[in-house]
Amino acid sequence: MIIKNSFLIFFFLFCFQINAQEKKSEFTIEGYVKYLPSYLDYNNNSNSEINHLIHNRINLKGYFKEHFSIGFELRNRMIYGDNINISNDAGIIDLSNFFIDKPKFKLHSMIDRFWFKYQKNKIEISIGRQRVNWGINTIWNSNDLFNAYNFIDFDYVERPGSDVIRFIYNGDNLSSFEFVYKPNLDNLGVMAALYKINKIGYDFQFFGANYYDQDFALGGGWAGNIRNAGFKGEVSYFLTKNPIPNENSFSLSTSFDYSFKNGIYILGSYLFNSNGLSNSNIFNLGAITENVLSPKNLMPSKNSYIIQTSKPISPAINSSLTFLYGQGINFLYISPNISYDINSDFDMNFIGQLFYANVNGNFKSLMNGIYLQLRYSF
Amino acid sequence: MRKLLIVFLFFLSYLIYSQDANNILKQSEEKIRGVKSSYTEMIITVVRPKWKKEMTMKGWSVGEDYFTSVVLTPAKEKGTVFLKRENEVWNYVPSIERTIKLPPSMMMQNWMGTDFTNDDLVQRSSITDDYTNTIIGEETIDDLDCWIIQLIPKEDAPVVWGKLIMWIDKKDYMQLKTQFFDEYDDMVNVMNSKIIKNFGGKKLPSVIEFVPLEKEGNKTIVERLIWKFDININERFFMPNYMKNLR
Repeated sequence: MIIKNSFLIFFFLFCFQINAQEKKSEFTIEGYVKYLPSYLDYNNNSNSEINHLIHNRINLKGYFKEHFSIGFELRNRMIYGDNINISNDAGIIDLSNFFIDKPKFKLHSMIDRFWFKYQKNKIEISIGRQRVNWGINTIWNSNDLFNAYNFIDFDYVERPGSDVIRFIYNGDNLSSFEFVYKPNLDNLGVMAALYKINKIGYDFQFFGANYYDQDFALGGGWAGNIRNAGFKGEVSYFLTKNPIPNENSFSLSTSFDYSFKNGIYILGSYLFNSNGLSNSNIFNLGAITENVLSPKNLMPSKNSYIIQTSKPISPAINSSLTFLYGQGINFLYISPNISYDINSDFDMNFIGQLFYANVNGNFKSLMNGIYLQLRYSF
Repeated sequence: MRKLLIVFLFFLSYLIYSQDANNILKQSEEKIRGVKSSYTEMIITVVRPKWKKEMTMKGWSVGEDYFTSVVLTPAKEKGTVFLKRENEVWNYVPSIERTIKLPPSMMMQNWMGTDFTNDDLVQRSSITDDYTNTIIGEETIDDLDCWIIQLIPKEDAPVVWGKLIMWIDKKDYMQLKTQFFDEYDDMVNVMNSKIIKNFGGKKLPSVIEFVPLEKEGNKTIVERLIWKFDININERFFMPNYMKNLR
């Protein structure tokens, strides 16, 4: 906690000093407070849980001397409930803390962004905890080496940051070159280079990386259209440094999306994960709900499919329905969602999550979750 | 021979007349976008019988081909960016820190819950290139003499409308009124311009009301606070990689 406090003091002193020196400096503060009660019903062992979560996010940004900026984002959560777990900070320095850590009540804070950036003309250099988002698809991102995360966790769309040094050079014709180094105390970390280019109406990207101690990673992605439909995809190949054969992994995700004149939007996506399972014997629900993902293993199944459809009912009300099917493991996930924009500050979300799979040879419901999310944004 | 000549003259006059309509539209578009570039700050209000939403945003454009805008308020949508480069459109979503390439079909979706479409915002389609235009009459709106111009989309044009009819004033080339028709030739929306102000030496309507006709009490109002023309805009503003920095 001492480190954290000194970070905070340093940050605010820093802000104050800049403010005093530079008239052009500007600081912004924004964020939200959410209240999220949930009811989870585990059908196979007739258990149910009720949890209450108050979730606050504070985003601070500073801009100074034309070329410099700083970002600091804090996530605070207070949880009361039957079964609660919070994962640890996976960064190089632990910037999280439990202020209260009881079995049924927790108060946890985590700094998930803390970066400095220098930007001039075509060059951008940033250091610190940030999100390096290399994903292209809406749901499964085979190219997301740094921030792969569980898409079922709708309460954390920002996702954890990575502690990295990042260099971007923006060339002509929308080309860019990016180098990212994520050091790790125990191993080689990740060293990755990405090249982007725009040709024939498509965004293309190609990367090569040293991926921790185990792998070299090679891959690429695209985003374009076939007629009026969007067509996107990502491919990653993880080449093991270990001489044992058959340990290489391959991940491919692709998606089509189309929006009809009446406002209905439909997205279809497919994921191939060579590390996935093709039978249901060793599959359990935790593999989906608790998994903080790696791009090497985005889904427990080898072949997965998603269909997502949404329709605005009015400017204030939006509805969506998601179906996910994991072939082989015979896993089905259904999630209906209704969101309501109460006014410019408040919005409300009603989310259902239904999980089905094969249990001892029978296809049955594993868990039903109902969530209500009330959010105040500032 | 005489018949042929008449046909030829008729065709020629049609050409000249339609050329005129194109010129009028071109001049009126140039007025809105500037010869080179434009910058605007506006308030957008979505009105429903029992609900209202207000947004503020900034927009930059260079010619017909480059446009970008950033939402400033409300807080939950702050930092949302739309970028158009020629035929390609991207959307930056700040909460997930990702730039998403939008498929062309998405252009016909309503923009952020308003009554106008993504295409109306970024103007991916061009009223001079994607439509066949003809002057079909003249009329006076608020004491201003106007041409009435009919715009019919060309085949394969990325356009949602079946037809547009536009009133453009003869003196200042302001688009004072537009009627939008669907493919069955039914009028579905009307756009009215009002409160003419001076922006950078140009007379332009500062308020545009976009009214869908099928639902009573629904409309979207766009009010320009600042509108500047032919200023220097850094070309970085129109790069997908730069969208995250717009504010």
